[in-house]
Amino acid sequence: MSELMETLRAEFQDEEYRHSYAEECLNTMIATQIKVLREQRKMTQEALAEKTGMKQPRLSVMEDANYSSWSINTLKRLARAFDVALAVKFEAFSDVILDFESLSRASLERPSFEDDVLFQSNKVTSSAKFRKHPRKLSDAERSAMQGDLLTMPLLEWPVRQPASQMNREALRPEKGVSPTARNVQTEKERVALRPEKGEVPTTIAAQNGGTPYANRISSAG
Amino acid sequence: MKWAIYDYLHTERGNLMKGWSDGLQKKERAKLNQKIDTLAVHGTVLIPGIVAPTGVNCIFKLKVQGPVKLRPMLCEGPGTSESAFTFLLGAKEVQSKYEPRRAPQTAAEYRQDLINHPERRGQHERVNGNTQG
Repeated sequence: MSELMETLRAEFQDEEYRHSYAEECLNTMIATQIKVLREQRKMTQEALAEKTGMKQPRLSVMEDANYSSWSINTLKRLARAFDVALAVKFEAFSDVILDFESLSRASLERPSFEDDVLFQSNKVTSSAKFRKHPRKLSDAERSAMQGDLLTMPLLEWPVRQPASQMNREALRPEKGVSPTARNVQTEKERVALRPEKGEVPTTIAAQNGGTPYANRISSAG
Repeated sequence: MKWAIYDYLHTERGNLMKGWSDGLQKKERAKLNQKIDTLAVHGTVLIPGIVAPTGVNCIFKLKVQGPVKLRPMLCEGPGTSESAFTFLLGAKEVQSKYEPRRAPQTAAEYRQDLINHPERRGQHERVNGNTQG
């Protein structure tokens, strides 16, 4: 445990004391981070004032460890000017002290959206990389596609929609059921829906003025 | 702690900083301790506005805001060590005026005394955080 934490262990037993101390830590951290973020972006206080629509003297006051009249709206305006997200969280006292002790310029710097590595890498993936290396299909996807394309008679296209719906279900892994097993089940369901000999697919039946799969419906009724 | 913190020890009245801070309210003591800890852990470079010049050469004030504006007087070193601060005396600021009135000038005298008598300083005695008030 650090020397400071050891000292504060006893002092923080007092509620009023620990809250007052933590509030000062908060003020110090916000003021310092505003200054650090502005300097990271090589902005003057005037430039930041213009971007936030505030006056430069007000920004100067906020970049002071003693400023305490923070409002969420003001912080949101600053977040937008720095192009970073604002996160307001409740913390344990120990975390506040640990954060305060490890405070450094590097720990307070944040990349703007433009320099955010995660979003940068997505941009690359969605363009050239994806075209070069298309995603490999899983066994379940391949099997489902083969089931559709190879075993389904061409005339069966009116029942294509429910079959495809089932295939979509087959691609969604169920809890405790492997995608392959789910696909076998789907295959059975699909076969059950396949028209029997003599049955007329929907659209052809409609063209002929008949009822689709009339014999099956009548036998069922 | 990266920076060493000392208190000036007056020949007759002892540790002036300690005597002054013991008379503060609990909330004020908490804020003051936080600022002194900030000074000890981070110095003055990273944290903006933690100390400010007083207009008297080499004398600074530690700034603690609140209904009562605490402005204890301090100096760097003194001496060759740049990684040390010494509190010279306690002070407040009321309506832009110091209490005691000539706090920066008095602090400058104490600093000179300390340069002449380096033994007149001791490790900073922490502002008492647990007593009522």
